[in-house]
Amino acid sequence: MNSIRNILGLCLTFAMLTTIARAQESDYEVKSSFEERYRELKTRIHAAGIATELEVVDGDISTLEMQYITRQQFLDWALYPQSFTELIDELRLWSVVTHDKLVAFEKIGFLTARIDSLSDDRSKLLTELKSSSKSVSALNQTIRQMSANIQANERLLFALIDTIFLPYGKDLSQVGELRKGALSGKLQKAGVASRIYDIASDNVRFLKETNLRGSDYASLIDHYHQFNQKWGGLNERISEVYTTKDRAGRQGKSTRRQTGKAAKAPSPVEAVDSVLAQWQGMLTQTFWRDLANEFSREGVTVKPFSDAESFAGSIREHVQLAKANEQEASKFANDVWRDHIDKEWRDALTKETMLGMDGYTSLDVLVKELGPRRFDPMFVVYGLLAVVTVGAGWWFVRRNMRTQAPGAAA
Amino acid sequence: MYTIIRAALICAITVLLASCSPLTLNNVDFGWPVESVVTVGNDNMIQERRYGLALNVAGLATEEFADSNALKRASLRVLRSQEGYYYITGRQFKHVYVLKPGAAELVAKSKIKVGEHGLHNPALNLRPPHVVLLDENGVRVYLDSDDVVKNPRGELAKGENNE
Repeated sequence: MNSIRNILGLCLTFAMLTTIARAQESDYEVKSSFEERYRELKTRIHAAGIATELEVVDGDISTLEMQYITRQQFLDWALYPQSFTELIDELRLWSVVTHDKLVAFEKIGFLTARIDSLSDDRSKLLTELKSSSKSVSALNQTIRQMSANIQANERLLFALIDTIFLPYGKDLSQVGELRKGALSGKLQKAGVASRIYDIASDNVRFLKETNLRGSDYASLIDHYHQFNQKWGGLNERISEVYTTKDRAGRQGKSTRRQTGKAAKAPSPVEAVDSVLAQWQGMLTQTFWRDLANEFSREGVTVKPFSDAESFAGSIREHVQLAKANEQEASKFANDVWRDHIDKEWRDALTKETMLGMDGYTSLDVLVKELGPRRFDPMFVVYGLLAVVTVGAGWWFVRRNMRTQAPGAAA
Repeated sequence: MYTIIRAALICAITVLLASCSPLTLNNVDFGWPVESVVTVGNDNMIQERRYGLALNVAGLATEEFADSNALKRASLRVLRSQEGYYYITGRQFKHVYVLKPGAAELVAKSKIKVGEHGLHNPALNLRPPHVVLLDENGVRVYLDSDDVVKNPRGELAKGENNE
C-alpha cells in the first residue's frame, strides 16, 4: 500500500514539475496548474480518514505556497474575485477544521467504546443487586460501585454529546438543514438518545431494586437534578435535529403514509422526557416511603405524608400531640428525630427541592423543644476558653502596669 | 487692435470646441490578467463568462481556414490587451488576429502572421505594452496591435518582471 502511495506521489511530483516547467511560459498554465493543485489538495483534505493524514497535506499546502509565491501578484489578479493568499488560507482552514472533526470522531469512537464497556459492567452490577445472597457490606459495596458506574457513564455520555455538538456551535438555528442532517446521523450513529434513555431507566431500576439508607438520598437527589439540568440544556437541540430528520423522512415517505393510520411512536426526546419523569416519580416515592419507614420502625405513628408540605404538617401535628405525653415526646425527639432523621436524612431534607434549609431548621427547632435540655460539653470548652482569654488579658495589663510604674516614679 | 481681436477669437473658438467635444477618460487599462481558453460551440459561438464576452467565430474560421465550420469544437486563446484590442489565435493558426471592439461587433485591426506551418500549442501572455505569443520549441513572439515587435528589449524588463 505504501509503495503504491510512493509511486503515485512520484508520478504526481513529476506531473507537477512538467506542468510547472510549461507553466513558466504560459500565464494560463500557471493559473490552471495552481487551481488543479488547489483542487487536488482540497479533495485530499475532504477524503482524509484519520487526523495524521492531514499532517502530510499541511506540508503539501506549504509546498504549493512556496512554489507559487513568486507569481503571487499575477495569481491575485488572475484568480479574482479570490486571491492566492485567500485560497492558501482556505486550504489551511479546511485542514484545521477537518483535523478537528477527525479528532472529534476518534474521541467519539473512544467514548462510545468506554460507555459500552461501562454499560456491560452496570448490567452485571444490577444482576448482583437483585441477588440477595450477598452480605450487607458486600451489597453496600455493590451499590457504591453501581452509583459510581452510572455517574461515570453519564459524564462520558455528556462529554460524547458535547464532542458531537462542538463543531456546530451553540445556536443550531444558524445551522443549515444539510448540516443538521449530518449531525442527526452522528447522534443516531452514537446512539445518543437511546444511551440517555438507558442511563435514566437504569437509575429508575436502581431505585426500584436497591434498599437505600437515608444518607444515600442527598447524592441521589443531586444526581437526578444534575442529570435533569444537563438534559434540559440538550433536549431542545436534540429535538431540533431529530425534527429535521423526521421532516426529511416524511418528505420521502409521504406517499407510503397515505394509506393506513400507524400508531405514532414517541420521539427519542419524548421517550427520554418520559423516563426522566418516571425517575423523578420513583425518587420522590421511595424517598418519602423510606422516611416514613424510619418512624414506623421506631414505633412512632405519624400522619402519612408524601411530599415536603405534608411531611412538615405531619411533624408539626405530631409535636403538638407529643407535648401532652412526655415519654412519647422524648422518644420522638431523641430516638427518632435526633438519632435517625437529623443524622441520616438531614442532608436530603435540607435540599431546596425538599424542605429547604429554613423549612428543616424550623422543624428541627420545634422537635428539639420536646426533648430534655441536654448538657452540651461544648459549653464547657467555650467557657474555659473565655476564662483563659480574660485571665491572659488581665495578666498582660498587670505586667505592663508594673514595668511602667518604676519609670513613672523616677 | 487687429491682434487683440484675433486673440479673443482664438480663445472663443477654443472654449467652444472644448465644450462641444465628448467626455474622454484617460489611462484606461482593458488588459485581462490571463488569457481565456474557450471552446467553440457547434453554433460557432464562443463564450467567455468571466468578462461576459460572446461572439461568433465563423468569419474567423473562413478567414484562417477558408471554411466557416473549421473551428467547431476547437479551442481558441483569447486575450485582451491593455489598449482594449482582442487577440485571438489557436492551434493550426498561422496568424494572430487583433480585433477592435465596435458596436456589437469586433473589427479586424490587423492579422499578424506568426508562422508558415501553423501553431502547435499556442498561449498568449499579457506583458504590457505587448502581448507575447508562446508556442512549443521555445517560440516567443512579442506583438503589438499592428505587427510583430522586432526589438522589444527596452520594454521587456517591466513585463518579464511580472513572471
